Amino acid sequence: MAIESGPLHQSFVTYGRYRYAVAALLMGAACAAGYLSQPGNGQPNGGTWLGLTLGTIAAAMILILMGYGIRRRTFKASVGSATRWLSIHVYLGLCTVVIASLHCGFQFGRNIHTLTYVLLCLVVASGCWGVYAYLRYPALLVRVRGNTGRNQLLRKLDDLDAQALALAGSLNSALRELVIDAIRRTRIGGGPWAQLRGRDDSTLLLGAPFQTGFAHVVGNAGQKCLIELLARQRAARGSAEARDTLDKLLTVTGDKAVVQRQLQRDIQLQGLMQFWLYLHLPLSFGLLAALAIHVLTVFFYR
Amino acid sequence: MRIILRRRIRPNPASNQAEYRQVVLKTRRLTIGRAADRQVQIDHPEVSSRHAIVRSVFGRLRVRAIGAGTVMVNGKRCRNAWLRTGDVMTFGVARLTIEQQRADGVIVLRLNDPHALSTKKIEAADDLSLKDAGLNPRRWSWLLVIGLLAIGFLSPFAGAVLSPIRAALRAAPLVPSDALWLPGPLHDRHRAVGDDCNVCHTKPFERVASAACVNCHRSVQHHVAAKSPDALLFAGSRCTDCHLEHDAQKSLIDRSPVGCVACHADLKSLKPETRLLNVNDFSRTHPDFDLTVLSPVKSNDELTWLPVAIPPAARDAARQESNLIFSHKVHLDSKGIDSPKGRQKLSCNSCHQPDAGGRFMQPIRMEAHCSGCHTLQFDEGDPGAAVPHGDLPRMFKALEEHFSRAFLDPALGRTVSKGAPRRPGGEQKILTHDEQRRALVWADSQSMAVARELLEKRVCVECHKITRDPLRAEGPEHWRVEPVRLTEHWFPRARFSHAAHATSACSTCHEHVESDADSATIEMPRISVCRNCHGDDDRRKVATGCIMCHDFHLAGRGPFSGSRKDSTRTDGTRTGGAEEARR
Repeated sequence: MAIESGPLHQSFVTYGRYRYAVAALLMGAACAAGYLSQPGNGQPNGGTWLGLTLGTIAAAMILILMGYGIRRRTFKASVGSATRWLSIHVYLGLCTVVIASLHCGFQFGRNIHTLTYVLLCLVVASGCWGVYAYLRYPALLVRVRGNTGRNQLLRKLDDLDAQALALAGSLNSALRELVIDAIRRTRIGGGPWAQLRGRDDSTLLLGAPFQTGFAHVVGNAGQKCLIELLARQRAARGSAEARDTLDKLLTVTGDKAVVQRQLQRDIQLQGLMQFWLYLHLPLSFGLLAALAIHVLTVFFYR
Repeated sequence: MRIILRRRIRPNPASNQAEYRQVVLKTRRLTIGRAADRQVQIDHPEVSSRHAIVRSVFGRLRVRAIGAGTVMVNGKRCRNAWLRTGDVMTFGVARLTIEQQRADGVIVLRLNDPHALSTKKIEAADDLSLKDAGLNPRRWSWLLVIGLLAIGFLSPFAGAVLSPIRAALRAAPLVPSDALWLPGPLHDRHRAVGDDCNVCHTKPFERVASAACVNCHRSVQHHVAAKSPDALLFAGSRCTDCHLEHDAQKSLIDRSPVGCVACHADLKSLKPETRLLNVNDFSRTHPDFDLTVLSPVKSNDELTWLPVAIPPAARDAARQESNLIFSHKVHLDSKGIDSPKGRQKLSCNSCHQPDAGGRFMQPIRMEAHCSGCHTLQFDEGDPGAAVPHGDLPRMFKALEEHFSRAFLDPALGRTVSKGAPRRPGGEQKILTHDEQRRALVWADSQSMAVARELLEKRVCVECHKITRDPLRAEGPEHWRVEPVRLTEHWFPRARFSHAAHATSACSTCHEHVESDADSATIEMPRISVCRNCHGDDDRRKVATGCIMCHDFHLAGRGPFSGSRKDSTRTDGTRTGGAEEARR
């Protein structure tokens, strides 16, 4: 969802001096006024003339809002800028919840009708998350990455691993294998949940001589375990040459931990910036199906 | 299970000889896969993050693929397999060999992963974006849409249109049926209908027909005479126009005035001869109330009392001819009123009390409400003696008996008038004929004198209108106490509950009762009084629809069947309508 930059960049939130926010607000207020102006005798209901009117408006709005997905894919669209469409989409979407709430007269139950309402609320909630993501995460991403991109970070990580391998070559086989195992078991990204969680799941298979007893897979978040082991080795070793190598290895590992964290955060933020859409889209289509069932069944058993 | 895992490791660049390192694991299951937390980590695109496990089953080793993957054992793909010494499992390009199964239970495995030996990039190739990780919104969308259609529509719809499986679907737990479509629960009063939607919803996409309601509600009455042409005005109207269901309503009735106003806003255009005035709402266009007063109507030289409607314009001049002489002003005097028990302060509810239903006031009764003060005594010397109420012959009889006894028993009380004969001595003796005659004459004259006083001067006449028949001699037939005719239903076409208004003072509506000196003044409220608290859409007032006071189904109009076929007689004569019944 690219935000189109005009001569002066305008956010979809403030687009046209909140033109569409005001329009949506007025629309919601008009519907609420209509709702409140109804005589107070009897329970509000979707089947009254006002209920049907509000329901028709809400259904039409849902269809228009779904149309935004088509507009997004049409690059040659000549009607309005993408920012304008997004602005309309966001504010109209928020207004739809108000109108749908008035339509149902705040009657809820365990049925397809309330499910439709719940789906609408979920769609709008995921949309709100999207709005938050688009306002908040880009700035955070810039702060995490600095001036570099993800590929540069990955290349940097490769370089640091190569350096670590080269340095480990001169160490004994146990330490060498430890460094290699740490590199192999360094975790960046992974499954959807791991990406969104952004936690460092790196591990080490730790056995003799670093540990007495049986070998275990231990956590190595932020290369902490490795750094600890290397530091212990450095304290024990006598030879100046070996100590020098271990010093360098420690520096490289520390650098790697930093880059690794940057990458993980980058992946997490990118994931969060996309994930709301993974909810928003399926829920929208689910809503469309539920809406169709709702309309059909309301008229099936009249 | 103890495992010695020997891994071929990257050789020292200097020696370049194959080198193995071993770790000793104690585990119930050996985990194999691409993920960092696996005990045997193999980085290869063909290996999934959690690929397989090896465990000991009754002393024998068994490998099992996790998820949808397979394991290759000795070159054969399989989901799981028993392992023996020398067996080789292949994961991508890595080979895991069972080298030895020692007698002490230790298993020696050898891992040969060429990928781990190369100097190329050995970073675990994890997914770096959600899309790479296999998230697919399109797939989720389809799943959700198909799932919703199947659960929310296909299964219920199948039940709704295919009657053979309908009952089974509805009865089966967790199986989606058309119960999912129920917008709200059935009203408590309709529970007897049960769970079968089709009892009322007989045809899909059609509103519930009145016939379905009338099936049970046979005696529900029409708004107009069911067999009059007026009933034609209701052609096409259904029970469901006004009655709601499944709306979580406390009441089954739509209380909005829309349905009533549809006709009553301009009733003359539908029925030119109607006497009813147009009504749009309560607070502005509802006409002021007609009063219905019980009035004497002369027909065939006979006076009968009939309810007579008095239009609002004539209300100020309207009087109630009740034959009762009563002053609210005297009785409600703030200083109190004389009574046998001293001065007593009365209030409205000293006499007017609502009936059990709360709608009407209980009738005023002499015995219950008046006799406490109005004792009907006639002999000051004998306070216990009182005439009966409501029956003139009995009153005369009681007086005669009283004075006959008084003649015989001077202790009964003093004689009322001077000149009455005093009998000498107190001894008992048998009366002579002459004495008997004198006693009768005396008793007659005494009782007549007292009766005249009661009826014309003192007691009866205080409250009752009393007429005399000059053609008849003085006696029970000479006087007539005119019967009291109090109007009970002032607004017979409306429903009013005194109980519902119990929190308001009586004078809120019956405004000047305290100052009314006679009982002919009518203090029934006008609509303006109601409008002080009742309104249509004014949020500060009680929302008042038509049916708060008026019934739609009116008694005696004939059944409301929803079908209009028999609403006119074949000869076309009208059999009455709302107006006729009203008159």
